[in-house]
Amino acid sequence: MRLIIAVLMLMSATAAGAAELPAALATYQGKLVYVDFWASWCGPCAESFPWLNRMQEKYGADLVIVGVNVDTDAGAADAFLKKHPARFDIVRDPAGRLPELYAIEGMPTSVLLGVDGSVLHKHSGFRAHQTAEYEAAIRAALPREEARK
Amino acid sequence: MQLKRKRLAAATLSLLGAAVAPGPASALDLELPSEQLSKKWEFDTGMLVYSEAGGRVQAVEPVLKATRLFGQDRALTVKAVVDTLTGASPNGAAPASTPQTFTGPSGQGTYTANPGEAPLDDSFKDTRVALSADYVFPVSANGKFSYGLNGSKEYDFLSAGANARYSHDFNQHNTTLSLGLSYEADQISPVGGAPVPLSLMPPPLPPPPPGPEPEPEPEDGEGGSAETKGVTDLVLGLTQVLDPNSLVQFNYSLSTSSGYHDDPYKVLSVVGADGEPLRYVYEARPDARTKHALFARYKRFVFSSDVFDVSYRFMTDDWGVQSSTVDSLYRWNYNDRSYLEPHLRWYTQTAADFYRAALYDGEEATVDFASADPRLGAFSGYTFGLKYGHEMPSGNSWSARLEYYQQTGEREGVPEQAAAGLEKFKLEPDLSAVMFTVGYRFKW
Amino acid sequence: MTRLILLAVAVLALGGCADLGAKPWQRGTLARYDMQLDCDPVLAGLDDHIYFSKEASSGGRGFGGGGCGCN
Repeated sequence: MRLIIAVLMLMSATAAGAAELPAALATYQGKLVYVDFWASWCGPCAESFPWLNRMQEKYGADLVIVGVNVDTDAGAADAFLKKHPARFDIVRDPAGRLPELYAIEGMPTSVLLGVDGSVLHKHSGFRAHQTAEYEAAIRAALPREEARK
Repeated sequence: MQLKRKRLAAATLSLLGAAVAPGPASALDLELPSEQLSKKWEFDTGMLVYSEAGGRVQAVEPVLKATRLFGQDRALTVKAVVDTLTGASPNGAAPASTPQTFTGPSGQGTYTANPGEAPLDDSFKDTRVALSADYVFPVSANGKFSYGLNGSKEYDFLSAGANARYSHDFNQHNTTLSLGLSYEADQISPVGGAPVPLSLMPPPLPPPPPGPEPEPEPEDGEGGSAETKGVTDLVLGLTQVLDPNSLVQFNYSLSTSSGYHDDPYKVLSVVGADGEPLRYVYEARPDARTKHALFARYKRFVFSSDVFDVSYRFMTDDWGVQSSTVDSLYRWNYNDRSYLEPHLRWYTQTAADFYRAALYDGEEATVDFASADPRLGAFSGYTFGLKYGHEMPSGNSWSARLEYYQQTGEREGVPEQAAAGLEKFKLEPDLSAVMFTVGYRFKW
Repeated sequence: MTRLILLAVAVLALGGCADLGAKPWQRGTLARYDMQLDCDPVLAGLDDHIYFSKEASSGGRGFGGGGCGCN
């Protein structure tokens, strides 16, 4: 079943459905990746970091959280990270290639990529009272035994 | 660059949760992590000192605005303004060749104008207090709603109002449409009661005979009648982001008011053919007014550090006043923490249909409306100013601004029959004022 | 009157241009405090009061829009 879906996705025109992860995320190929687009000028991003840290800790073995920073000013991103430490990987993308590829519609945006590189879940914005929903999307993507824990 | 200095701020003050990055859509800083006990209050304070040349109006106006952030983009803002006014203000009468004496509105004290001078009423002292509260909250991913109440009180004036606003974002927050509605009810209780429009102003009272001091008249309008006025406002707006460095805003405003619009303390000189005053009558304005305004504003980030801002407003109303305002400023962020901001404003208005510098003998019985209030005359105004601002490592900031405002009047509303006689007097309303403001913004 | 209508049409047409604007990840500059339409509201309020007292026009300014466009 998964093979059929993977083939269909390969055949679909949208870049987001492609099995190959873009170059910047190549190291995460084959893993469940939670891509979070953030910037130093984005207020809700500051709110989301503590939650992202908790998620990385909780599902560490099966989930990789990657914070893609879209700041054009690297210094501003550094300052933000000093104030809101990230215990997950950070990728810098000042040219905005990754957000363009995944056609994000707001800041922040989270894209959950399956082990085959396809987009499983995408949501725009971060609201503290909706974190249960965000977590549910992660759990739904986890391998069966892990989700039951 | 504003963003570079944040590194220093972040390193030294990470424990205090001081704001580092610029805030989102409004002056509110909504980046507080809701879990931490971080700064939830934002205070914005300011004070204006306003001083007109020639012993005219002097005002000191402190302002305090406090915003409480509740997370999820909800915020409550309360604002208090105190306005203390002193100094002399034109009473509407035209200059004459002989000294002119008037009694103040309270019936006590007189003031005299020298020959050739426009009479200034210096018995004018007032303190105004204004309070307002507004609550804003999101109604959907793209919609925001706010409602508020406001009120103000002076010794002869009381107002209460309510407002509601809604704004909705489209095109990934690049386009915003907004609608605002407000209503205000005013109560005017002039000292000594509201005079009958175009009725004769009583001559100055003779000095009281020697003896025990008479009972002073009440300083507010409790002895006299109270007048009312209602004002309804509608604002329609469109904001459009043009590119990552600029945006534009258009607004249409409609304002309708009905009720008492007269200034109960203003008079007009009724002159003969020689231009000298025969008597004085109280002014009369229509009891309704409708104003339309179109506003356009452009803001652009330039030279990778500065901001250029220019706006234009066109206003027209059914009293015959048409005005244009061009307002522009340039924020020069010369280093990470400080800026200098020159400001230039140009304003021009035409006179109201019923604006008269003076009335000719007998016209007070035939005209429907007449007013010599300089605010309704024809004039141009220039404002030149410079503002300095500084942001401290804590994230708090202060600013100081010095401005000069000059109004140059045009000769209008001169009755033909007395034109020759009035030729020798300066009738055009002129004004010049210096304005100094300081401001301090902090989080707590 | 014609000018008013033309202006209104231009404004509406502008609103319909979905190409105009900034991508969500390109809003760093628009998020700056000095790029907000209501930066320094206390000063704007004081100015409004001065000009309302000395001139026959008032208001005109709007609200909303611009900024980081977050959430």
